[in-house]
Amino acid sequence: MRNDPIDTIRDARRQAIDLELSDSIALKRLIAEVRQQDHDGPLDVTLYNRTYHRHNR
Amino acid sequence: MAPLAPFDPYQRLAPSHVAAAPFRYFSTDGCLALEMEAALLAWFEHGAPWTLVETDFYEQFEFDMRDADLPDAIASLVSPVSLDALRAKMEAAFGDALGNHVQVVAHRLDPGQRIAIHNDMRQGGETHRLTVQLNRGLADDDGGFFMLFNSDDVNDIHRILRPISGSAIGFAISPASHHAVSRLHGGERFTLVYSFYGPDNGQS
Repeated sequence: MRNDPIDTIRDARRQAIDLELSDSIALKRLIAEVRQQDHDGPLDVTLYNRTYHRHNR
Repeated sequence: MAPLAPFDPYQRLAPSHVAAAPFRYFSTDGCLALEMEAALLAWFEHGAPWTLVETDFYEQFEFDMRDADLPDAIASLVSPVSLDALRAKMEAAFGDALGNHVQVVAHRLDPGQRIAIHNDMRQGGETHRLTVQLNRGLADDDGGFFMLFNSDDVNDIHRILRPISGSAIGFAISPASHHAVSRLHGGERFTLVYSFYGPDNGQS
C-alpha cells in the first residue's frame, strides 16, 4: 500500500482555495467544461440529481 | 477514571467562510482528522471498491462507504456516533434540524471526467450536502475545480474553488444551489460526499 508522507497534502493546503482567473481564455474553457453540452434539449439542472440517484440508495 | 470519549474523525470541521447567497453554504480548509486523511487517501488509491457509473449525462467512479469493508483506521468515519456528531455540526452551521439518516458516498474523478452544472435538488430528497476533497495535491493545470454559480447560467460564476485536499464545502440544497466540477486533466480527485435529510425523512 502506498504510504507517502502527508507533507504533500499540507503543502497543497497552503494554497489559496479561490481560483481568481484573469485569463479569459482559461475562464471560457472552464465554463465550456461544465456546460451541459452532452445533453440535447433545454437546460435541466436536475438531470445529474436524478441520474446520480439511480445508482445510490 | 472517566471513560474515554470516542474518537471523533470530524473534530476539525469548523466553517471558516459562511455565505447566505447565492445559496447557503460554508467552506473550510479542514474537516477530517489528519491521520484519517492519510489513511483514507491510501485506501482510496489502492483498496477501495470503485465502481464506474456511466449514464448518458456523466460518468464517475463511486461506492457507498457504508457497504464497504473499511480498514480499521477509517472505520469510525461511518460509525453511528461519528455521523451523529457530524450531523450535529451541520445542524449548528445551518440552523436547520436534520434527520438521523446520513448517506456517505465516495467519488473518484479520473482525467477526462467532469460533472456539469446541477443543483442537487430532488423533491423529498436530501436537504444538505457536505463534500470533502482528498488528493495528493492537484495543480491548477490538473483542473477539477469546484464551481459555484449565481444562477443556472454557467457564465454566472460565483466562486471557483481549488480541490485542495482536506478542504470541505457544506451547503443547503435548494433550486439555487448550482454547482459543477470542471474537467480533471491530471491526477486523481477523490471526494467524500455526505448527504443529510430533513427530520421527517425516514430513509435508512
